[in-house]
Amino acid sequence: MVDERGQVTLLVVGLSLVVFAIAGLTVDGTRAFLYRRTLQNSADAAALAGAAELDRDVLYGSGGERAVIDPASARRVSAAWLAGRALPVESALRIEPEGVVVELRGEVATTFLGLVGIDAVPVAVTARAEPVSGTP
Amino acid sequence: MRKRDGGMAIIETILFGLLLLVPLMWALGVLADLHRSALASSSAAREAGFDAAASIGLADATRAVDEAVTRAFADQGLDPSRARVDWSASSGLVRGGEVEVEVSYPVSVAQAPILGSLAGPSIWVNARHVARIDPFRSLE
Repeated sequence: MVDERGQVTLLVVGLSLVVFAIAGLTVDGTRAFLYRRTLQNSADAAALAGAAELDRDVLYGSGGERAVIDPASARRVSAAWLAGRALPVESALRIEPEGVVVELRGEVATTFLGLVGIDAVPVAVTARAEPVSGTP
Repeated sequence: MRKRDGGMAIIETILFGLLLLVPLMWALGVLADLHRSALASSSAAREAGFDAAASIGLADATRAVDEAVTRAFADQGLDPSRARVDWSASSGLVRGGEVEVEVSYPVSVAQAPILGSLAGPSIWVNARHVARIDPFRSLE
């Protein structure tokens, strides 16, 4: 009769590898999720900062009824806001008549996925803010 | 004479279970807490920044920061009183100024699946948010 000692060891080791792989994916996934959240918070703040730069002539000329973005000022403030955060990301700013759009693209390094050749996960976020007249 | 294998599987399972699965369960528990705490900290910093930037005075801003932090940690089932909160406003909430909020929270490394966190060393997770005060906001 064949000696069956060690069979369960193989089973447990195999099962453990699967569990470790799932745990690894969880770690890298969590890191990417948290990084995305960080980028989104920064993009939101930059868009809000830019959207608060209004054309004063239009605003005061309409008695505070019309809130229109001052494009040059909005771009300057949003760009300065992002520069102040010093995030290692690519950024794109679009100043539209209706609002400010901020796009950020970055990469988060992986730990466990690196074992299968995926060294980084791309993360991209977009934020849009528009001015609204009146009391918030 | 044939050697008996009876009972070997139980010993192997217990041995490998202790060596591999127990540390794994512990690590997953700590990671879950780290994730939850990081999520709560970033939410707290963000909401506290927005709320403080919309406040009409320093006392109102302090109250808004406390409420935002309490809400964010309570939402994740964490104890808000353990959070360390530092915030500052440029020139006392002046229009166009900045409000900076930094929130830190300790995650206990020594914990068990059923017993929860035990006394021991902690890992601190941090979150920071800077919000701009509306340059056209009304002063009340």
